[in-house]
Amino acid sequence: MLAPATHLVARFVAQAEAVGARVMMVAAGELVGALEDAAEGAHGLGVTTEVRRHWPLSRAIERRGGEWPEVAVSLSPLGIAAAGSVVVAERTYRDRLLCLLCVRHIVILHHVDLVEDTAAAMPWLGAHPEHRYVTFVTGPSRTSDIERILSVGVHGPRELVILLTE
Amino acid sequence: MDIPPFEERYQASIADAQLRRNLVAFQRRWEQQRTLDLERSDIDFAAERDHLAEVKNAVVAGLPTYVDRFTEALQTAGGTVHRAADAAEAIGIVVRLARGRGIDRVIKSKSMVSEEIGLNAGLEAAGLHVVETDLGEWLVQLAGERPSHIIGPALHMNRYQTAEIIARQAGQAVSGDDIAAQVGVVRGLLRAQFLAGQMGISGANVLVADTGTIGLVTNEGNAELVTTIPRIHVVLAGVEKLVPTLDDAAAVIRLLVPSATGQLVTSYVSWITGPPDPDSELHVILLDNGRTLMRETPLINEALRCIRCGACSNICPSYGVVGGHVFGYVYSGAIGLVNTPFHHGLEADAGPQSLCVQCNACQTVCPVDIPLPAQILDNRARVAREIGHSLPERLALEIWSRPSVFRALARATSVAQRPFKVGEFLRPPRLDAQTSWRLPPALAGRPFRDRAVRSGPVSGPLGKILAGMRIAYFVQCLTDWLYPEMGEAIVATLQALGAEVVFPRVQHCCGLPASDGGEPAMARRMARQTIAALEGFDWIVSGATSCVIAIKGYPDLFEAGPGWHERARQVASHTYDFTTFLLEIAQLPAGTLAMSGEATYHYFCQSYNVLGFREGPLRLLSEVCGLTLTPLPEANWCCGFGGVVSFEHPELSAGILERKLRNLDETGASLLVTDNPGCIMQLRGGIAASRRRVQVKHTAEIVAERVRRLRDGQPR
Ligand code: SF4
Ligand code: SF4
Repeated sequence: MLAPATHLVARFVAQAEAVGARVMMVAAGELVGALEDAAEGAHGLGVTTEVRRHWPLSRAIERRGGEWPEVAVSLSPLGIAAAGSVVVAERTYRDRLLCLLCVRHIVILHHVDLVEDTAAAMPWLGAHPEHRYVTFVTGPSRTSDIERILSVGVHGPRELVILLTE
Repeated sequence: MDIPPFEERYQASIADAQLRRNLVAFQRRWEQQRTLDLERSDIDFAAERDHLAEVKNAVVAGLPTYVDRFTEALQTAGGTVHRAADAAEAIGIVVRLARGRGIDRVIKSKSMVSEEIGLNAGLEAAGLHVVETDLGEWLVQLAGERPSHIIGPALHMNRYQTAEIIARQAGQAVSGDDIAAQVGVVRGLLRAQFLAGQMGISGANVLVADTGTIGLVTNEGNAELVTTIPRIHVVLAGVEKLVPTLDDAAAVIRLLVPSATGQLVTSYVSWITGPPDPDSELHVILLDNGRTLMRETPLINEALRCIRCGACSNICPSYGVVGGHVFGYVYSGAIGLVNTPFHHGLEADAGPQSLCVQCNACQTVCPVDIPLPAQILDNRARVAREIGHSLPERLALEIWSRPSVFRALARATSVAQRPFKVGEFLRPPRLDAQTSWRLPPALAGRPFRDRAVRSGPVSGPLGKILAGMRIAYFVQCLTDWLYPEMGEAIVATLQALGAEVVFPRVQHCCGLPASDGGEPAMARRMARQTIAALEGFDWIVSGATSCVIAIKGYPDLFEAGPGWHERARQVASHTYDFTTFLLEIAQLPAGTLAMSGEATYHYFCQSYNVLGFREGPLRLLSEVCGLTLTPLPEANWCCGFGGVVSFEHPELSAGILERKLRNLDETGASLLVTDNPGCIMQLRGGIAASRRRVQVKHTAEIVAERVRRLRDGQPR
């Protein structure tokens, strides 16, 4: 079952890393542990509703820190291999803000949810009108407004960590 | 915001050497990155561009239907669509929405439409506090300026200038060298503003009619914050942002991103379909503000395909000298020269449009193939008609258009110039704005038309190649009066290849200066003269590629049908520039004229952008003629001649030339080959004025020299 998807995984990892995201491969049972590692040393950690629903244990690692936690953990419904993008489609106000205001955004993506390219992601968008605010996220926030030179982490998250699960 | 008069803006930019360095560095980086990215990606630029142009054409044609479809879809999704006829209406809608909800703090992500209507000033006048959140836009807002580029509002500033603005705002010292540190300070400053925002205003990169979806593309993530934190989101967009389906929207973004940024993906692409939460609001203001008039104006209506990528600024040689505050009005770059009359009045475009040198590079990179150069000429004609040309300019064009008057004057000048003639140049006693950077050429002692031209073929080793063909030679004014030896080189080459060459003596100017000068009626008159002179030959060949392109455009000057249009079509389809003629008709095999030598090659900008020259001339010079070529950086960038523009705006022309000559210095070449006499005049004049030592030759001179040596049996 893994075979047909492997080239997607390879392409996704290469592209995502090329734009500055960190990708970690994680076995299903080790997820919460991996999250704990990824959130090491952070001031506050929040997880989205979907993450809580799938991994009830993840509640245990949540902790407050300032108004908004430094680390946010969300679950992506879709990844785009050719672009190295993850789709963020949170459905509550709090979850959307959590993912935008954090410093480090940890996104869980199941490898079977990878599609080839953006064109292949559009049908998903059309089929899910209940997701009213959908963002294709590719790497950390960046700007090149000063001398067209790239700097990372202007308004959105400075780090994007993708946990690619089996 | 009050925009200073054009002349003031122009002079300020010319005096700003730092600006020019910022612009050139930016354009270089963008072009290299875009080329690299398109090569690396699976984007088939030409095919996808044509497809997208078709999609957008259909939308423009059926615009009212798409507006209705979008309105309905967004209403179904819980949003509201407002229509605004002009700036005042649009601002009024935003103010009413804010007042009705007791809002006084507005946060914005980048929107060119909001610049177009002067939204910030309007909202501030109504007592609202407005904060821009796109870094570039924020810098420009604090500096009390306006964006100089559609995508990079602050790219006219360098890091030291931005550091000053940020330091003032933060009340702390900020390193000028450390861009990352500057960005970090801004993050902190703006975070509080985001959280205090009560209304978020954004533009839209694309609107999807079928689903009512708004597409937003950013790198910074500020658009996401602006459209997520406040409970009311207002979108300002021109109707031209509509596309039918989500797939079409993906096609827009696929071309928008590399065209805009020179990268293949941006950090964020957001798709918003209705208000995201039960207690949030989404309003879309669809703005007309002259777009209906654009839609009804032939040729200009094609500009409504624009996806606002800014590529037409990034590739523009004139933009590279004066920047977007001068080359444009609110919208900068080629598209600004096209749409300004419709959004901000013809007067606002009068100065900026006069800076276009018609190199056509903008159309080459435009991801929706908008005929920007032709549209700019159309606006130039509007300006000439409604605001008028200066008297000397009109007089010059008039004289130029009348063969007998022109010749009489040229002959008189040829005598009058004698005291100032030094070699092939004139050295006037005092150098001025017109002559200090480019020595003017002296008129040739005897113009081409006075030199005896034998018309028959010449027998020799190459005599079979064009045997039996009757070719008309079109000389062009510059070649005729300045460079008759280039004319002789072409005629000698064609004869040596076995053709009979005729010089129809009634020929005069092709009319290019008139159409470049915004005088289409005059251009038509000159086209008729030229067509009548050139009919009835197997081929028409010229060494003046600019004129060949003008002649190829003749059919567009006349109404379709028999008569002049058909005659124009006949002549146009048989007309060739020298290089293409040798490659496609004579088909000289590799090695035919191989004799050693070294050179570098400059593409006449329109040869590259209009005729599609790529490998051809290089093959002719290296494989056929045996030259070793050193690549010239930015070989396809304009040399700055631009016909009348170089006389009207000598500082601009000098600035573009300077860039070309610096690139030339990098090659170390002592021979520069090109194929248009306009470029040759510009380059030779600039090289002489700056005391560089590089020879400039027409391709035909290289070929003719080899043909002669081959005939004379000289060693290779
Ligand atoms: S034709 Fe050349 S000079 Fe004119 S706007 Fe386009 S790129 Fe600029
Ligand atoms: S005219 Fe073409 S190149 Fe210029 S901004 Fe519009 S789409 Fe881009």
